[in-house]
Amino acid sequence: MAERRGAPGPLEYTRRFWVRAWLAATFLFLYAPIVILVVFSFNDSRRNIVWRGFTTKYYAKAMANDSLIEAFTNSLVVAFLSTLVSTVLGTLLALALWRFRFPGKPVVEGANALPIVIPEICMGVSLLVFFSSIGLMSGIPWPASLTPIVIGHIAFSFPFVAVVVRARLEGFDRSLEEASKDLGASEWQTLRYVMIPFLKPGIVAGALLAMTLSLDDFVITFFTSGPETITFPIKIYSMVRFGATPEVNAASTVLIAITLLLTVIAMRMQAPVRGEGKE
Amino acid sequence: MDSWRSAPWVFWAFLLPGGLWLLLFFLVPLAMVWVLAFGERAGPVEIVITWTLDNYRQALEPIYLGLFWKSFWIAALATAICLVISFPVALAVSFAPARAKPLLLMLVILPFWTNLLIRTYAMIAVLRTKGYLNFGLEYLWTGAKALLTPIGLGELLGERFVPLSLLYNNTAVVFGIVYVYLPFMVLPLYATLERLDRSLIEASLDLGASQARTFRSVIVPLAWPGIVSGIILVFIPALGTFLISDLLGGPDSQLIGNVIERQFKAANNIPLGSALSFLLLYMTFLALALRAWLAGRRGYRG
Amino acid sequence: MSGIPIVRIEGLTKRFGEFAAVDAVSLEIPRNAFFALLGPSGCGKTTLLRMLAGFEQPSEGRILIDGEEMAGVPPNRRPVNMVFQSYAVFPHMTVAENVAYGLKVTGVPRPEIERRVGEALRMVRLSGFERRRPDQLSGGQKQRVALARALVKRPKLLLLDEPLSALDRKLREEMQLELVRLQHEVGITFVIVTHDQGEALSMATHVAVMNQGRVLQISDPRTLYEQPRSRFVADFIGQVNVFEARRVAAGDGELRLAVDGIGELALPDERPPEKVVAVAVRPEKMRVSAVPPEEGRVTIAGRVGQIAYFGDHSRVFVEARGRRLVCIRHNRSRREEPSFREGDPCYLSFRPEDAILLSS
Repeated sequence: MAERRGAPGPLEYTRRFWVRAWLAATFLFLYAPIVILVVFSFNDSRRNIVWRGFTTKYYAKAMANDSLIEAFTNSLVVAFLSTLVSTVLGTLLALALWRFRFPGKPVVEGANALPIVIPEICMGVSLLVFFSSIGLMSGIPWPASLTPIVIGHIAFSFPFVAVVVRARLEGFDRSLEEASKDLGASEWQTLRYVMIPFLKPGIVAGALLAMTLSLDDFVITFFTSGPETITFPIKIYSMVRFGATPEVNAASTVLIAITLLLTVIAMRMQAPVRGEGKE
Repeated sequence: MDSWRSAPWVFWAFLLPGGLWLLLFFLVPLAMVWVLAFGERAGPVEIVITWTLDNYRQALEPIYLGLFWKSFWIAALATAICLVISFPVALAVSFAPARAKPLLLMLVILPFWTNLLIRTYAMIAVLRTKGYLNFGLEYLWTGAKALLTPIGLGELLGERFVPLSLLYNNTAVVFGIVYVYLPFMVLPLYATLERLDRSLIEASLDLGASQARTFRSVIVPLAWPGIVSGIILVFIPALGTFLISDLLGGPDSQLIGNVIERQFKAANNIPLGSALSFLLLYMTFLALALRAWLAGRRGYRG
Repeated sequence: MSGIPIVRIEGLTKRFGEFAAVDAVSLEIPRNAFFALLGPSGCGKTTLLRMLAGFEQPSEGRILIDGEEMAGVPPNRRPVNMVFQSYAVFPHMTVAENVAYGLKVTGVPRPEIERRVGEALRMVRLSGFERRRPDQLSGGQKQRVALARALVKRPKLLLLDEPLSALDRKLREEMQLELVRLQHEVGITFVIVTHDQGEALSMATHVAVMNQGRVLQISDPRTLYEQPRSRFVADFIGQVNVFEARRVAAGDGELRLAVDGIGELALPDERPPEKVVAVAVRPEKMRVSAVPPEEGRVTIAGRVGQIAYFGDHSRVFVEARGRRLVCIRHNRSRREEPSFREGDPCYLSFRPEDAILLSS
């Protein structure tokens, strides 16, 4: 039976050849464009798709481009503020929805789900209308000019955080909270010493998601940035409209690298708490 | 669950920040757009709310209706392609050995961590006439030509390699949507397949059903909630996309998203744009209602 | 009835990486047996069962079912059906659809399906439940659906993976009797995996005890309990007092052993194993008394330790020569007689022929 040893079992779909080929093709489809983009940011040729030797001159060019640097800084500031506020708002809302019964709860739940499901463009234009009507869209000095973008990013990010944290809360044993109060802890102490440590993986996952959503976003930023405000996606968008250049590749590569780095850091933080068995 | 009255201070402290944010920066702006759809332009920037239905009437004219129809079909086609590609991928990931699973899952999620614009831009470089895909095809063509010419069949391939026009058309838009939203389909599918009790599949095989039959009679019905979620998660953003069609599409690839964007950014016909936005929103709600109905119809929820 | 066993397993090994879950197992399962695979969790019994069903591929060795080689035969083509531990009742089908599924997918004509489904449901006493959905059934009812669904296929072999572990005690005892009844009724060979020795002893005609991937002993339940061959089997099946022992002499129908804590012991020499390493005595074969017992019993003096009361019986723990021995007293009278208290001196005794010789 030697030739049959190691034959895939009936449920080991991943070991079947056609499934593996399918997986490989899908990953090629997903990654080839990005990999090519990164590789050709080092290509010593402006227009050609043929490899002409390694260079970092487009990075130097991108670094020397003041408006690109400004756009970059703006995007990181927006992502940072949005992540911070979204995480707090989302966690609190999740706690409220998880713990309390109150009139109008389905309305709040529905309102929380809407930003997740509706097309981004609808949200984008509504924020544009809103901020123009209160005069926040132009003539505001930096960094206050970023306010509409930050507010918009928070508005579509924190509902995601709330969903993630609430999912984690579903696994929470309420007797832990009761035990804490029984032992004399106040609401605040219970939150601080029992709930938050339990929720930590959920909160970190939520924060990671909020950060990703913010760095990923194009549509909301596109509609909420005034004429004088440049953020990274807007800058790239205008550069792309003028045609693909290696500088765009270089700048994109830097953003990809930063996103990856932040994600890895966040994943490290998310590593399971010691002493906690399975989820 | 406690009544909010049991600890009103805690309740308000938890609820108010998020609740107010939603109200002020989501519901109020949306309501403003809803109202603006009943307005009239009274100058370059002024809009008077006259509760006219003209904007909706205009939005339902054949030219816009055709755009909605086209957006619907492109989104539906892209969603279907995503579903077909994703199912084996999700199956492979959820049935992968425990060691490989985190890596595979990571590979699925990773593109999602790259900016939408960058991914769309990356697609341009692949698809354009002097892009990598044509480059690869030309390479294959040259090889085939060299093989076929000695046996007199070289003419079959024509005189010169003619690059395919892959970019700036509807196919490119569908391609781009599939590329950008594929992870949204894989993840919900993976989530339901992961939760699916393995012994149900084994029971089906054990009772004599083939793998194909098991897939049809057991795996698909039980993964139904995930399939529906995946369809919604891809279809809705695809329906409202404007960046992908803007960058990858040609002159005839304008989708409803592009028209809405133009009303607000360039044409400055905000009332018409608002009416179109709300029509898009109503289509979304229709899709969501359909999902609730579909999920309920199968009788089984995971 | 043909002479070949319904299942023949030869040198079967299953490795997961370096770890051998099933290690060179060879055994035969006779036709119409109620065969139990018994062992602690992780002993390889479920892996063995899953190899019979075709869900795991053997690393080495082979399986023959009714004389046919099973290598390369996928689960859906094996004449074997399984009742899963989780029951695996399809949640999106009704009871009748669940039972009909296995017939439908193999192209049995519709009228026959209906007839056989009705029969099977009658057999497991679920007539009238045809249109129920699994989420409207209790655990015991789901189990019956799983049974009907497997039996309706008329397999050569019915595999049951810990079928009773999810039921509460009352229901479990009921189902044990039910399974034995069913097995008699349908005349199909049953192979059951269990970690519950009581379950195995009360239902099975043959019990195979497994540990660490190996089969240690295959016997009928009585032999298994009264004549376990190894320390593991003796200890796993019921409780036991073990004394280290060494062979001193043999001959003249008598075996003489030097036993730790007892001294020299002469036993009737009926087929003693090659090597004796220990002597074991079951607690119910032990007697505790306040005065020395009659001649002919092996006696150990000690002091009463804890007494645990179980209603129908009590367990008396006796401290003797630095060891803790256990003895069962059946409470045959409503009054306790004689009454022991902790610390009272006492005598433990057993008949020499009740001593079990262990070879490993």
